[in-house]
Amino acid sequence: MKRGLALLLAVVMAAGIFLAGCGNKNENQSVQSTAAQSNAAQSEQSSKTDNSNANVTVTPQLIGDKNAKTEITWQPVPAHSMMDSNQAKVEYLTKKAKEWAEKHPDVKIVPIQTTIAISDSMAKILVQAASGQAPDIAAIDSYIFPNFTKYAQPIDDVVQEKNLDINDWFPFAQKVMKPEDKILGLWYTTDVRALFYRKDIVKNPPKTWQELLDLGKQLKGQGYDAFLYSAGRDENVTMNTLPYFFGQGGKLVDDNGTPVFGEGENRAAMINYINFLKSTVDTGVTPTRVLNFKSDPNMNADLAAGKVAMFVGVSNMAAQLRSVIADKFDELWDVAPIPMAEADQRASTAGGWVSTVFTEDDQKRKLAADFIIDMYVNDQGMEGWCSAGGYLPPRKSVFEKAEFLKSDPFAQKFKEELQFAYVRPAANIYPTISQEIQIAINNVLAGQTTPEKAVDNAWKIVTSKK
Amino acid sequence: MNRETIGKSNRLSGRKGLGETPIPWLAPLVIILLTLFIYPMFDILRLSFTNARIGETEYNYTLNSFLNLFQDSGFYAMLKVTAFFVFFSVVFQMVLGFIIALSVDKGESMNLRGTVFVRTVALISMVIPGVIIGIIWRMMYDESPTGILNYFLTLIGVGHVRFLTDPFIAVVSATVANVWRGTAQSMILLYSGLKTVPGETLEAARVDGASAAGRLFKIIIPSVMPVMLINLILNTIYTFNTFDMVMTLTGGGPGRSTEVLALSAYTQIFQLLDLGRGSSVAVLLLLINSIMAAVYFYIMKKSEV
Repeated sequence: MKRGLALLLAVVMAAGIFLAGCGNKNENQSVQSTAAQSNAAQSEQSSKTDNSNANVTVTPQLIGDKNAKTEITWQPVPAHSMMDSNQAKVEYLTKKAKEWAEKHPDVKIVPIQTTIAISDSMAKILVQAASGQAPDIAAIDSYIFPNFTKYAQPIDDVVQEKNLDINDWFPFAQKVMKPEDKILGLWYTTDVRALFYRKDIVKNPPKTWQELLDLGKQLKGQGYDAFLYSAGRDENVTMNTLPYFFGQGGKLVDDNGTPVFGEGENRAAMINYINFLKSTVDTGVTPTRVLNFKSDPNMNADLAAGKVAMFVGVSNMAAQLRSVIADKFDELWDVAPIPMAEADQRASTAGGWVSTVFTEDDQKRKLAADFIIDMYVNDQGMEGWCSAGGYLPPRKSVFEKAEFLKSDPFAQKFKEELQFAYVRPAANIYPTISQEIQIAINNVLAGQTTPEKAVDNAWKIVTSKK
Repeated sequence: MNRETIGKSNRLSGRKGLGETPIPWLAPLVIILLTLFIYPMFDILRLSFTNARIGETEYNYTLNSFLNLFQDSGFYAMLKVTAFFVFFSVVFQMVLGFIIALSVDKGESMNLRGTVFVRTVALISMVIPGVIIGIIWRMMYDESPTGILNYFLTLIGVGHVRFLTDPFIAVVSATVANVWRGTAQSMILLYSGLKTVPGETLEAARVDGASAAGRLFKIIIPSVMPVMLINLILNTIYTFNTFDMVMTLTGGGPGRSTEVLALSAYTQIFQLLDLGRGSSVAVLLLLINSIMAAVYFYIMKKSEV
């Protein structure tokens, strides 16, 4: 009797597991965050208001008719998806997705949820791409995109059909999107680094390192944290400080992707750059706690306290600070080019996201490219998306035409900086170089070593991994 | 022929029905172990002898991943940091866990109120994910004028402390955060151990005039020693594997001053995409954990005898 009961229980459990597995196929989104459920409910509601096409569903889990014969999987970065907590972005994406789905009743887009840990999710997509299992469309962080180009499908035909010209993108983006003779990705949102300064404290923003140090010492004497920047261990730190290196004409790798930053003039430029950062801390212009700042929002508490005069940060910080200190931001803050070693130098760095198509099925490839272009890339798509999310458009014409940017003095200055922006090199070794630069900066600012030794140590480690 | 007769007939013929063997019960476990634990473990071991990179389908088998690791001076610095982090984490987790367990046990024996509350509060740190613990302690250690700990330290005249920006203090800070995280587990294990200490023996010692310290060192601690050893080993394994809390607290910085083995494996694989090197670090971690697990089973077996 006991054995019979136990066997029965085992069968029930096995059946339960089997059914759960089957259920997962179609209902794999049953486990959702509260925010996502809320967004889903809202999205679904918005789609049901239109009676012209009752089968179209727009939720964070499905776009289109669930019975549509063509299925396209789409893996956006969470902040660029309908799972985001920003209502403006969700509303924009829901509206655009619904329009696209109604125009393509035979197609359903299945969004794939992913982690907010960017490195993890990029590594996972790379593994999938290498084994032929990548999603049909995915958003890729621009700095790692060169690792994906061998798996990305060309989309020149769709780009041409949609009357888009690659020359309309800023130069830094063109090289990444079209590494050789084919367009392999669409850069759809960007950012740039600049010097943010308090207009009421800093009358003339410094143009050179020496001017910054001189001004900084005065401001320090008046009780201000004169100059902040991120200096912890994070990719953001490399991005925010590399303009000092690029401005001197420094190169991290040569045209073949071989590291060169530790040799000759590049080594000298690298030492100068780290030495400048050391000077900011040694003189007290910058507090040592910048070693704690991994991302720019880590500075928000200091900035909100009102005792910071200048900082180098990403353009998105304008929107961030508007949400922290509201109207006071536009009243008190302005932006200028990042101070350089010499007054005639100018450089910034740009990052952003690239959408790419992995499916080799020709029909799906075209539809996937069309979807991305409609959502994020064409004139209305890029303006709507960047306006909703507070991003900068990587297309020059959108920058000129977009209404929301015309009235924003910060945006026009960021556009100017984008003209001088460098992107991180398209080389497999770049993540290692970036990490070693972060460690070199950390060790020097913490007083553990000299800039010369730090650069040489970084060079030794990077070249040992070539 | 009824089932009893069939069973009897099978027993006589030496054959066993499927229902009489452990196979139906063990098969799912074996399948899960093979697919989710054993296979990935051997795959990591295999990859550690390659120069594989994430996203590359071609790679060669080589010993260079290990040789480069052992030739890297940063690796030995990382081992030292890991040893410091693990040693002091485990020691303080056990000492504090034992003190709390002893206090709760004593409180219960004296029918004091609030012992359940103390146990519950101590357990809070156990249910908070490591990533969140890292963020909480990052806020505590904030070095800006609004930082919580620095505010109080300045108030009492100690002055400003560079909790996360001084390389040595950063390791101590990460260790303190990990002690906070792991003390609850020690408390639970040692509390259960204290419940097995015979009350009559303690009472007899008291009647014979043994002091509190004498009862503690000569009766209580020897009685809970097997539990303490198990606690020591489990905490050591957990602490060696800690990377989530360190990642959000310091990211391994400043420099490499708080980069522990587990964090290094994660960084090598997910940030630098170096599957070969990352796997070799993971294999070293596996080796350490396997030794700890072997000691654990040895003690378990010995305590059963």
